[in-house]
Amino acid sequence: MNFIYNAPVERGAPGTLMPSANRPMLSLPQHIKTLLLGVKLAALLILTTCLQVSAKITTAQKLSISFHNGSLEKLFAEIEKKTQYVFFYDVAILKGTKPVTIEMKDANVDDILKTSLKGQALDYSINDKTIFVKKVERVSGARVIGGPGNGVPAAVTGVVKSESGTPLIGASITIKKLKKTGVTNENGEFVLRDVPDGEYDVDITFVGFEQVTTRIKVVDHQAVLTAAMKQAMGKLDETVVKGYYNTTNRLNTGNVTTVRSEEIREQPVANPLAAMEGRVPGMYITQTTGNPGGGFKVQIRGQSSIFSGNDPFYVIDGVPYPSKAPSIINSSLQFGSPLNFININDIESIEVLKDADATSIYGSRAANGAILITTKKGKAGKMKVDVNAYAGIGKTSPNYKPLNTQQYLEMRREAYKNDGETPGTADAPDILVWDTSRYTNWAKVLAANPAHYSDIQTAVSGGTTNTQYLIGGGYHRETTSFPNSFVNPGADQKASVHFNLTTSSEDKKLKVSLSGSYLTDVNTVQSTDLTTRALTLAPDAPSLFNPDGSLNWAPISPGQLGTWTNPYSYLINKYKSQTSNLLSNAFISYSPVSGLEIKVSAGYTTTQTNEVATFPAAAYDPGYGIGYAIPVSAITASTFNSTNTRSWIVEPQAEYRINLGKGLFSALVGMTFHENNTYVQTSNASGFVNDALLENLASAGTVSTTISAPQYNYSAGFGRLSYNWQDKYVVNLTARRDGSSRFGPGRQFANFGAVGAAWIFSNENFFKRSLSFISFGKLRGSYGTSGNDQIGDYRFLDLYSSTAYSYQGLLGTYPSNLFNPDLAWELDKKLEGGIELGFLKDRILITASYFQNRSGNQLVGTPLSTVTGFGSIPSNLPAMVQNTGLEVTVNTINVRSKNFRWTSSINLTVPRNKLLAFPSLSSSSYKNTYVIGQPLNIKKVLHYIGVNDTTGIYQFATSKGEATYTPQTADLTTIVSTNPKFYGGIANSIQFKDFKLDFLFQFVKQTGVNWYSVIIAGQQSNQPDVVLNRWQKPGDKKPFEMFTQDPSSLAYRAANTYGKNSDLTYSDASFIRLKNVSLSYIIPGGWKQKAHIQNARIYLQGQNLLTITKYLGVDPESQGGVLPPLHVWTAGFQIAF
Amino acid sequence: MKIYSRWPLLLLLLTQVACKKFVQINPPITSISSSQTYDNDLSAASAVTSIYEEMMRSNQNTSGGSLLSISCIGGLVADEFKNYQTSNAALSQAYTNSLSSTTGYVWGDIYKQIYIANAVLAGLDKSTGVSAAEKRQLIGEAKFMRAFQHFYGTNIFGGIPLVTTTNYQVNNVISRTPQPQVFRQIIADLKDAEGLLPDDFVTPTGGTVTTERVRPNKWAAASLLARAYLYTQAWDSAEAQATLVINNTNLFSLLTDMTGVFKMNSNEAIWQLQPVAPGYNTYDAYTFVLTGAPGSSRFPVALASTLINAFEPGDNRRVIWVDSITTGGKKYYFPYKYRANTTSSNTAPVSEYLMILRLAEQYLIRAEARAQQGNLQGAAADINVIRQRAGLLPTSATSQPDLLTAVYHERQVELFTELGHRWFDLKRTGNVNAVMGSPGNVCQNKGGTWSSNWSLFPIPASEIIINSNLAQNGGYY
Repeated sequence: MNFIYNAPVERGAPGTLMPSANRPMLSLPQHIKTLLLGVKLAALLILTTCLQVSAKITTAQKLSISFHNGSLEKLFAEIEKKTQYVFFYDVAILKGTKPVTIEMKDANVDDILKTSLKGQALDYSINDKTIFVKKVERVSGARVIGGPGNGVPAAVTGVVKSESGTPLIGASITIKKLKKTGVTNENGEFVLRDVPDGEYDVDITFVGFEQVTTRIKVVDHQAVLTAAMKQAMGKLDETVVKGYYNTTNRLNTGNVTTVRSEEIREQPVANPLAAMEGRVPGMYITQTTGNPGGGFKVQIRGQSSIFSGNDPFYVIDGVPYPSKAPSIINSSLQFGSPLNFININDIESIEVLKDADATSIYGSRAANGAILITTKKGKAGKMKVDVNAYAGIGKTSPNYKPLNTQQYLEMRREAYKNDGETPGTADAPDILVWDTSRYTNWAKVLAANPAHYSDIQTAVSGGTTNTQYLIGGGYHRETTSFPNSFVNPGADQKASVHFNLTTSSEDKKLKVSLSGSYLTDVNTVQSTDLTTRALTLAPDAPSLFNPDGSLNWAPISPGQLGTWTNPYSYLINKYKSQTSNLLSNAFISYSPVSGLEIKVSAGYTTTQTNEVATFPAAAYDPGYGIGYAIPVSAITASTFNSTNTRSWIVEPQAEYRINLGKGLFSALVGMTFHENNTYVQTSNASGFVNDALLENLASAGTVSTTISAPQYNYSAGFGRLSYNWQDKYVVNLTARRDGSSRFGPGRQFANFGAVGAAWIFSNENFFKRSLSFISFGKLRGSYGTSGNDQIGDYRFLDLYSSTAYSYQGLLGTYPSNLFNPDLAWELDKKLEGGIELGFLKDRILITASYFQNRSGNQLVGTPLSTVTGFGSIPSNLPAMVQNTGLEVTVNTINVRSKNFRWTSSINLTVPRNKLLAFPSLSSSSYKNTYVIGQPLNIKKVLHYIGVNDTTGIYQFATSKGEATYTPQTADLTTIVSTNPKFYGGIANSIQFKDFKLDFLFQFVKQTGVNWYSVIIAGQQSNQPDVVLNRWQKPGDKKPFEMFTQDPSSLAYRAANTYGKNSDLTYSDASFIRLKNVSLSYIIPGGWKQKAHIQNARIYLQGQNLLTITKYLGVDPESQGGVLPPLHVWTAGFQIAF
Repeated sequence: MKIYSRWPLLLLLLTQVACKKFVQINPPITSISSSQTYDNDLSAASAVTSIYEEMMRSNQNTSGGSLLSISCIGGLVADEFKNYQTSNAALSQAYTNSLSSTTGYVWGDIYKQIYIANAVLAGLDKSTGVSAAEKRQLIGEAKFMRAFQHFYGTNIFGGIPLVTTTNYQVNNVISRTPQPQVFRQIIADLKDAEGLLPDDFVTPTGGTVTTERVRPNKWAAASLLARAYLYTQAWDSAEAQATLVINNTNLFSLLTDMTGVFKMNSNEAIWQLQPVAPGYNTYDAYTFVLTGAPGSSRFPVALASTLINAFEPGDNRRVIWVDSITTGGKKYYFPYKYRANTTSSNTAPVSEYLMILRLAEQYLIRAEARAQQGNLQGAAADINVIRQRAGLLPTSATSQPDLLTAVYHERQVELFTELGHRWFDLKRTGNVNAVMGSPGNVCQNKGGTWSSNWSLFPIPASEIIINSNLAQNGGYY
């Protein structure tokens, strides 16, 4: 906070503010100089690559000074030399100042300045490390609002602005002693009349800003006051970005959850989605693989669309960002994640918009919620350089114990005995050919190698009140848990740069901002996930390598085909993807008259991914005779994939704000023009003569290529009206009219809108009087619509496409799309109610909200009789899906003392998904997939009723309740749902002196697919050791059936065909996970000052450190046989100077 | 207040004008609209070509996914193939004549290709950019293909929906048309095609004569017309059409070297389909020519002993068109008409095309038609042309019933494992119940139980769920 007594600067004579170090001035305007400074910084940046905004220095520096009869200019230079402060002032104001003499020991800069400026008609303010010196003047004629001789009564006048210089509209100015109150107008100006001469304390308050109390001296009934208010740090007053406008938690009429950089930076993760897990109520995130660069499943408030996309709408700095990753050919990455291609460290905050009030302004695209990412911006002040680096390791520890060799062989032999068969060398090399005394823990060898993490981020930032800059760069590398020292280390690496430049004219009427980031990512993670392989490979399987270092295929006699598939052969198949991602946006705003702001924001995004996956001959068993009997060219193949997405957006907007009655009215209108072009080229190439040529498409003998190049155009007009009456009643209306190229003529446009309202009842006087222990209370509600057009492009056109092959030298052209003019939007109706309460001066904040979303007009592929030539046609079905849920968050400040601070944050979501209607479901092909009244995410399965103790075979219930080994389709009567029943997180932050400990527990209650889905005990495949508890002889009552290896046996079929399709395969997959721990220490000591270090911090961080679960399988989050999320430990440091 | 009260109006206006244009986009560069498809000769020819490409591409599937696998499925339901891949439900069910409506055979492929034929006819009807000569040829081909698909559909399923438009709203609720009406349409389409199609084998556009026998011409239309007349017992017309083809000795002759009959563009070919997947010859050779014991997904079937035993001693067709492999102490016979059992790694040029219509059948059609009309000498002469080529003595049959039996036998051993001829012959000659169903006969030997219902395939159950106007064939649910 800083406040300055000064007179408004006269028009036409703008003062030139200069850092004193640059005093022998060039006559360049300050912002150009800052730009030059930025260029110098860029050079530094290239050396160090990237950034982090430092923590602010709060302790005042002490210094001793002995200064005799010198000019103020020299004094300032002296202070600059001895401290890290920097002065900003107009040189002209020092003219005519008196020389000063100062002798002080261990004094605050504050005191020194106070002393030296006494009687100099100068005033100063300190903002962070910058000291602004300004002239104190009596009000001159130019801007007199009141004064003697003008016929206007004298008055106290002034301006209230934010730190960044934006006038604050509606701030209250109170002189308590006189019981006088004023409110600022649309220029942030106020007038208090009839103030008697004297000194007064003035309180300036504005929602979202810290209260300012200052003293003024009124002479001749007049005084001028300029106040710069600092944004409040309380949770309620944090800024919330809501599409095209901002608000605060206190005044928000909608439901928005914010995750800030402080929470993100405590986690050693590379994907923002990983950092959000367990922190956002209503948002369910699942990490689908532990591989770096891997995929995430994201759902905000449940699945609302039956068949079309359920992806949320991503927006980065106002520019839409793809919700699907470009990667398609590496299965071990589980489709990847688009957010893997932005640098997590560039993020200032992530806003998750959930209800109609928050999402309707995004109309057709926000049915599944919106995720707004805001990147870091520079802040006014002396240049800061920030370096943050960490390194660490990650490991898996699957919740799975396989059989050892002895147990395994016992199982195998018993299986043959049960089947009445004799093992042969072809089907049982594990018994007859391999060395049965061998034991290898394959899980350890193949899927539990330490993954290495390294990360460095640097940033340079700073600026003046009019121009701020930030330039940063970063590098991150993460490897897999698969063996990575062999041929091709599997890793994901990214390097990025980010910059932001904001500048405004002296009168703050014109503002220009430009940001950009560029990231390049190289991913070489093997495209075969070895986890399943590691868990199922026989423990007596042969050694991986022959003595000469070549792969061991263990043939019975040399030259023959091997007896196993060497798992290292999968590592010879290379995968490489190279992605570059450019995000840029520009923002220009101009305020021609007070209260009115005209803005244009524009953005351009391009993502280019090139992938290649190779299948070299070297990965094949030489027993095939590759090289002589079979030519290498008959085996070798590669897949190439290239995806290029280019997207631009232009959004002109106008916003008007005015005091209306006792409240503040604001209106926003705007338009959107957005075009997205994608180009995907996939080539399957084969017939290479040498493995070394596999990455060269031109060396392929045969190439077949497919191309898709969809275009998506989107335009809209949107508006918002809002009225805030004395911070008690807030009403917010939003509307959007959307057009999408995905629909046919006449169906392209649709309207969306929402109303949101809040009543801050704690601001009612009667409430303040009688229930003062409640420091904050708000009731809010919203209702509105949003839509979904995620059906793919061109689905309404009748199109012809090229056939795969040519015939008689001519490529065919076949009808690929039916003409479908009736296709239209999916429509979401969202209802929400919430209560927010603060107790004990907001030390306890509780929020509870209930929502009900109904999605109708579902875009469904309606099955057609193939007599029509097509299998289905996309159409709108009046099916209805409902998502309801309760979201609760509790934020508490448990302890708040000088040296000890402990805060907690708890969130809980109880979701419910239900199919309300589906016309003629029973006669549709979905009759076995969905049930009215049940969630979408269900399976109809058989009911398992135990092992028959006479035959030792799994039994299932028929629809009549009888036991059977051979159930029919009609017996699929049990319904299981894998939707979470509830989920949430518990975060704690404990600060003791210079230590800070943060940890987050994530919890999920759910049912999942367990390891019965893979168990057929007895075949040539290792099993979890629990299978030893199997049926062996009549009378045994055991949970596992008899061992079998014969695919035609009843027992085999009971496990493989029926067991996998029964409730045996589903069980509790709930878990509590210590998702994140961060311990940091701020290094104290005076040495930092000498080294010009503002702040130094060291830290230890961990991710997924502990999991408590009853889940039967590798991992309850990722489930199935994929590499689970890794346990990660890292150590790092941060220095700001 | 004045300013912003007008904003909503302004917004609405701007939205309407500027946005509307913006969201109307062109088709993607990877596709073209239907009007673009039919605005010149080449792309119109390309649309017709997609039918042939589709037939050969989807042919890589023996489980009933395509029409042409009727060679395999048709051989299994009759008495030509034995199934060894018991885990394959579609093949097992076909072999034991216990077809299931949930498996679904060839139905979808037939209608997919009928749709393209109808789309071509509709597109050319509206087109002004395609030359008159090209239009004649392409309309001829489309009508020929529409007839061809309907012909197979009706012989497999009985009465089927007769589809002559592209309107999905109509076709989605269409009923089955009785078989005689379907045949009437087939014959009408083929007559049109015969009048429109060129006399020579020509290139896709421009009508240039070529040696490639891969597009149907006038003679293909006549040949299929002869077959359609035969199936509908219009003996005189069948004879007339077959004679037209047989008399065209400039283009067609029987090969004395029987190893060359199924080679690409052989003189016996009236219409062949060219393999399209790189490296492969015909899928028949790929699947049928055994290099190991049958039972795998690549080699699901081997020839049944009923067929092997049907050959007379000294029949060259048994020697040249049948081969065997001995593995694991067992001997398996397989058809060896197509010999190039190549895989994708094959770099040699394609040597065999898939034979759809060939001259030998025309002799047998005429023989049967003549016998039915009482021209017994003429019938015997045509039979003997075929027998002579196979190295056999002339037929000893002289009476009408004996000659008909002789023709049916000759068809069995001449056209075996070709496109379901045997199955269709059993049905149309009224012999199916006797051959398949009598105690100790074919169906029982295969492990099934015969019912006369099984002579028709079931309509896929999924189709009936969508279109309740489609009645199922008897005996199926």
